[in-house]
Formats: sequence, C-alpha cells, structure tokens
Amino acid sequence: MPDGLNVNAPADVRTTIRDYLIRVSRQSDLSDDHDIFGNGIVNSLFAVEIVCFIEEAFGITVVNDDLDIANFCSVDALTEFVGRKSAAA
Amino acid sequence: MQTPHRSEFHDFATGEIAPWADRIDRDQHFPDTLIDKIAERGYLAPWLPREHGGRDFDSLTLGLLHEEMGSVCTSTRSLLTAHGMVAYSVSRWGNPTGRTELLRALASGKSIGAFALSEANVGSDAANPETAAQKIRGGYRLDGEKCWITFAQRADIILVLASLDGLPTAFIVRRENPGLTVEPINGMMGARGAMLARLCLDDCRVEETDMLGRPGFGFTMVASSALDLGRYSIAWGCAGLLRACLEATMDYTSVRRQFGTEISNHQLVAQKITQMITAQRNADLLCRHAASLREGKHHNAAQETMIAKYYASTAAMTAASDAVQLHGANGISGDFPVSRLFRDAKIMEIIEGSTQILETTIAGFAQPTIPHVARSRPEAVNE
Repeated sequence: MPDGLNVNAPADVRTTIRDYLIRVSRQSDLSDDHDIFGNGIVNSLFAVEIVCFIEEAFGITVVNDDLDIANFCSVDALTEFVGRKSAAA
Repeated sequence: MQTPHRSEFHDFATGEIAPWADRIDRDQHFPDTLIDKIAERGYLAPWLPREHGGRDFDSLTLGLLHEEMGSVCTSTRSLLTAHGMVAYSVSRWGNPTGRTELLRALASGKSIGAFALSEANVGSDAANPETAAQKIRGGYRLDGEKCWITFAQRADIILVLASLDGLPTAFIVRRENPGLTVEPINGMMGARGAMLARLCLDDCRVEETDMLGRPGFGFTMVASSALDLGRYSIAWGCAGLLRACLEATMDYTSVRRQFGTEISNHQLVAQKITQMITAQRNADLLCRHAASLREGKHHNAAQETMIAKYYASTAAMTAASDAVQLHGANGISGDFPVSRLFRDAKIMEIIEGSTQILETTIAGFAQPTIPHVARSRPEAVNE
C-alpha cells in the first residue's frame, strides 16, 4: 500500500486509482466516469492487473460477490467499490 | 532459502522423473505411480497454504520446481501446470461450499485437475466459447465440446469455460458426471505424455455451487488469472528445457570429434553454444524478475510473466533446434534426448498464448494505439 495513503479519504483513493488507470491506458484525458471496459481500453490481462492493483494498493481482497462490472468499469466505480470494501473490513 | 529446495527438486526430477521421460513420450502415457510420487512430495499445488494441503511455496520456489521438472520431462511439468491452474481457480474463485475439501483433494492428488478452455473452433479467441451453459433448476446444463485438454484423460475435476446467455462463465465438472464423455487424443508432436483428450458435454448437469466466480467473469477473471499462473509455470519450464538443451549439447560436442578435434572447438559450433548459454541466462533472469514481481503482488507482474513466457518459449525452441543440428544424425534419432526436447519445445510456442498472440499483446504494453488495440476501441478505428 502506498505510504501515507488514507483509504478512508476518498480523494486519496480516487487520485490513486485515476493516476494508475491513466498510466496503464496512456489516456491522459480519461474522465472519472469513462467506461474503461465498454470502450475497449481494458482487456482481460488488464482486468487481472486492475484487481491485483487495488488489492495491493488498498489492502482489500476481491471475492466472488464483488465480480460485477459495475464495480470496475470506471474511476468512479472503482473508487466507490474500494470505499465500500474498506468500510466493511 | 531457495538452494535446499532447488536441490530437492533437482534430485527428484533426475532420480524419479528423468528415467521415465523417454518411455512417457514413447508410450504417450503418464503412469499413476509417478503422479502418486509427485503428490507425496506435495508438488501438485505447493503454493497452497499448509491448511489446504500445500507447502506454502513462494513464487520463486514454485518457479524452480517447474524449471527442474521442465528440464527432464515436459509432460510432467504439464501436469503441474494444468492441475495447478485448476487448483488456483478453485482457491481464488471457488464457491465456499466444499472449497476446502476440494482443495485438499487437489493438493493431495486424490483429485487431478484439467483446464478445459480450448475447442475445435476456439483457440486464441478463448473468451468466446461455443460450449453453452443454460440455467436449469438447481444448477446449470452444459453442452458442447472441448479439445486439446491437458491431462483430461486422467482428470477427476475439470474446469470448463462455457457461454451462459452470451457471458463467459466457468464451471467445475466432475469426471463421473453422466453428461461428460472423454475421448483420448494421441499422436501429438510433443508433450506426448500429457494425456490430452477431447471432452463431449451432452446435457451435462452441474450444481449452482459448481460455478467459479460469476457469469461474465469466466474468462476475464477466472481463466485469465489461471492462464497467468500457467504462463509463469511454462516460462520456467521452458527455461529448464533450454538448460537441458545446453547441457545435452555440451555433453555431445565435448566428445564428438570431427576433423581431428572435439566439435565444440569448431567456431560455428562455439557460436551456437554461446547463443544457448546467453539465452539460458536471459530466460532465467526474466523468470526471476517475474517471480519477484509476483511475490510483491506488483500490478505489472502479469505483463512481466507474459514477457518471460514469450522469451523463454521462443528461446527454448531456438536452442532445441540448434541442439538437434549440432547432434547431426544423432539429433534426429530417438537415441538422444534432443529430438524429444525439440518436439516438446514446439508445443510451448503454441499453448498458453501463442508466440504471435504474445507478440501483439506485449507490443501493446508500450503502444496502446497499435491496430490490434485500436480495433477494440471503435472510436479509434476512424481516427
């Protein structure tokens, strides 16, 4: 988990997620509501990497009940998902 | 910490597996007695925690196991790969009901796993299976055929990817299921002891708890994460195969004499040996780099694993070809291991991501605007 990251502060989580997706997609103009799966930015390899990233960055574990595209499809969705998982932990 | 394990793996591979390698290849059969020995050592799913019957192996230790196995027998390493992919899928995405019991059975060898992704019409385009799943009361019905499935002749637990209302979904099918028929496939070019089979699923009914993950995530999460482990295993296995080619070449060229000297003293032979040595070092370094990233749960681990598999498999093929060449007529006879290594190496360039698929995918890591990525982005096609 990045040093100083406060998972209870959505701004930190959102920034971390946004920075990561911009870096791996090289889409500097990626908006927070951009559907990264629906628009073909993310393939199956990146999907595995995204899960690995959020698990390691935020100390959560993605389980079967979390497998809903609505949890992973955008910066907004991932931020909300991480927030829910962290709050439940 | 790695050295004692390396010695253990090497001793087992050379003492228990190597004496069988040629016979496994010739007979196209992997004996249960060897599976039992492998299981007794805890090698089937060694990365599982001890409470599930594993040995808590870290990524590097697991890699070294596959390297040593790959250096003596690709069919043996194939068992570990296929079985490991199923065990991983169950551990990560299996239904909590019965998962622990199933993991213990997989770790102990009581159940052997096979990973049924490919079909006659579905290879690289694995995310779009033709095998269909239909929701029925209490579970699902599967209909279709799978092809080229490693160790399916022997498997008790088979992971099947099917299309559930157009959504790729993974299921566990048990060997005793009356809707499953297994037809052996023989005559493969390499890895001939990998017990391949064709699977016919005809009104094959499974329970709801036999689904892994969720509908629509059968390829994106379940299969993809398992294939990542499979590529890692094969990368190390190819590093081992490459080392075997080098060792066989050194053994032969240091005693074979032509024109008054050992052929290793001839310059063009030395050139090939140098290329093999360098390639073996490179493969080892790439595999170790992947191991380090995987152990650190780095988000780039899957990419680096793919690069390691790509390099190690293509380098192994080149080394095997050169090894055969340097053996002359002996290389194309059955009396020396290099002919088997050559045939096995070719298989590694096709499975778990063909060389060409990996080349286009890896290029996309650096340049997301290349055509194959642009095709997946409709708005980019018209740019």
